[in-house]
Amino acid sequence: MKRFISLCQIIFLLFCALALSGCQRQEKFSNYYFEYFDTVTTIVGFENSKEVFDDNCAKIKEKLAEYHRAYSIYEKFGNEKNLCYINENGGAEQVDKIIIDLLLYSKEINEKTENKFNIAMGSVLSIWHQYRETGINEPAKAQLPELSALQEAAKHTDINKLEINKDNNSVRFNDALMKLDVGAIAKGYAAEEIAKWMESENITGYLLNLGGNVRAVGNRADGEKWKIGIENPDTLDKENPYTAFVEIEEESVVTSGSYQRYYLVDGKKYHHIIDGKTLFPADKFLAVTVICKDSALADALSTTLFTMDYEEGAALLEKLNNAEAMWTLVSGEQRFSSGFGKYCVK
Amino acid sequence: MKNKIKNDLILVGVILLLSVLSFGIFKALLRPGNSVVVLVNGEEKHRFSINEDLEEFIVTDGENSNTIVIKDSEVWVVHASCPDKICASHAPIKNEGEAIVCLPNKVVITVTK
Repeated sequence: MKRFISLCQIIFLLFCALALSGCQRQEKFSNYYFEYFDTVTTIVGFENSKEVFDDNCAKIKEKLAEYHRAYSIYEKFGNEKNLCYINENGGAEQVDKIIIDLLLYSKEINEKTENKFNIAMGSVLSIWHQYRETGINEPAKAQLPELSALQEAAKHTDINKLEINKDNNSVRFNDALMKLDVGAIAKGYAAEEIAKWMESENITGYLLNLGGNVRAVGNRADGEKWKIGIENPDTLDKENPYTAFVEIEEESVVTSGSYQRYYLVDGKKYHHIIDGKTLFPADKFLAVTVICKDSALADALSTTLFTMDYEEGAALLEKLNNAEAMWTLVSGEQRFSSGFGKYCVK
Repeated sequence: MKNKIKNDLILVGVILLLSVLSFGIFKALLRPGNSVVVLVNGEEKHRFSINEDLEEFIVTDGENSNTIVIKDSEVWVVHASCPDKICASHAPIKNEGEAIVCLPNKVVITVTK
C-alpha cells in the first residue's frame, strides 16, 4: 500500500515536471501564401487543432490582402485609390486611412534618419526595377541603366514635395515627376499592424514572416521563445547556413540582403537596394539584420543601414536607442550594435 | 515519518531539476526533423521521410519544376526551372522548421517533426 502511494506520488510529480518543462497539448502548425507583396508569407502558430489555426489564418489573410492591395505600386485593383493609382495621378482625395498612416510614418522615419530613408525615391527605383525584371527574365538582354537617366530621375525625389492632409485623407505630389516606392517599409508596416490586430483579438503564440520580415506575436505555446536563424548571405558556404541565431518574444527581425533580388550584367551582380547618393546598388554589406519591437521600423532601418557606412549606421542606432543590428560585410566579417548580443543564442 | 518527508522533498527536488534541465536541453538544440514536406502554392503535395535517400522530380504546373534530393538526412534543390535559381543555391536543410522557398515556382520544401 505504502509503495502504491509513493508510486502515485512519483507519477503525479512526473506530470508536474512535464508541465513545468513546457509540454502542452497545443500543436505547431504552419501555412504558406504566395499572393501578397510579391513574396512568400509564412504563418506559424500553436493551436489545439488545424481547424482553429486555419480559421485564424483566414482572418489574417483578409488583412494581408487589404494591405497588399493598398500598398501595391505595380498594380491597380478596380477603383481602389491605392499607391499605384496615387503614383499615376500625382495624388488622390479620400484615400484609405491605412495609406495615410503608412505615408505619415514613412515621413517620420525619413526625418529620424536624416533623409537616408526616403519613400520618394520611386522615379529612380522604377528604372532599376525595369532593368532588373528584364535582366532576370531575359538574361541575354541584361543591361545597366544609363547614369544620366538615373541622375535625371533623382531630381524628383524630394520627400518634402509629398503633401499629406490627414484631415481629409488626401495626398498630393508637388512635383509631377515624383513617384513613391514603399518597398522598404510596406511589408514591415503591414506585419506590425496585423500583429497588433492579432494581439487585440487574442490570437497569440504566432509568428508572421512576410518574405523575411519576421514578427513574433506572443511566446510559443510550448514556453520556448521563437528562434530565428539568420541566413548566411554567402550562399556558397554550405557548412555554415546561418550566421547567427536570435531569440524573440514580441520583437521583429528583418534582414536586408543583396543575395536574393539581383540580376547579372557581364557576370556581376546588381541587387535591389539602391544607394541614394551613388544611385547604384549599395556595395558595403552582404546583409544587415535589424531587431526591434516595431516591425515597420525594423524593415525601414535594415534597408537604410544597408546604404550607410557601418560607423554612421551604428551612430544612428545609438541615437534611436530602440533597435539593434548585425552587419555582414562584403568580406564576410561581422559587426554588431552594442545590444545585439542579448538576442543571440548558441 | 520525518525520513519520509525528507525523501519526498529530495524526490521533488530531483524532478524539478530534471524538468529544468530538460527544458534547457530542448532549448539549446536545433532538432533534426523526420519528414520533408513539399508544398506547391501553399498546398501539401508530397511528404517523404528525411531518412530515406531519394531523387524526385517535382512538376508544379506542367511547365515549372524543382528537383530535390534527400541524402544523409538532408534535403536540397539540385535543379530548378525558375529564372533566379535561388532555391538551387540554398544550403541543404535538415532541422525542424527550416525551409527552402522557390518564389517563382511557388514551391516550399520544409522539414517537419
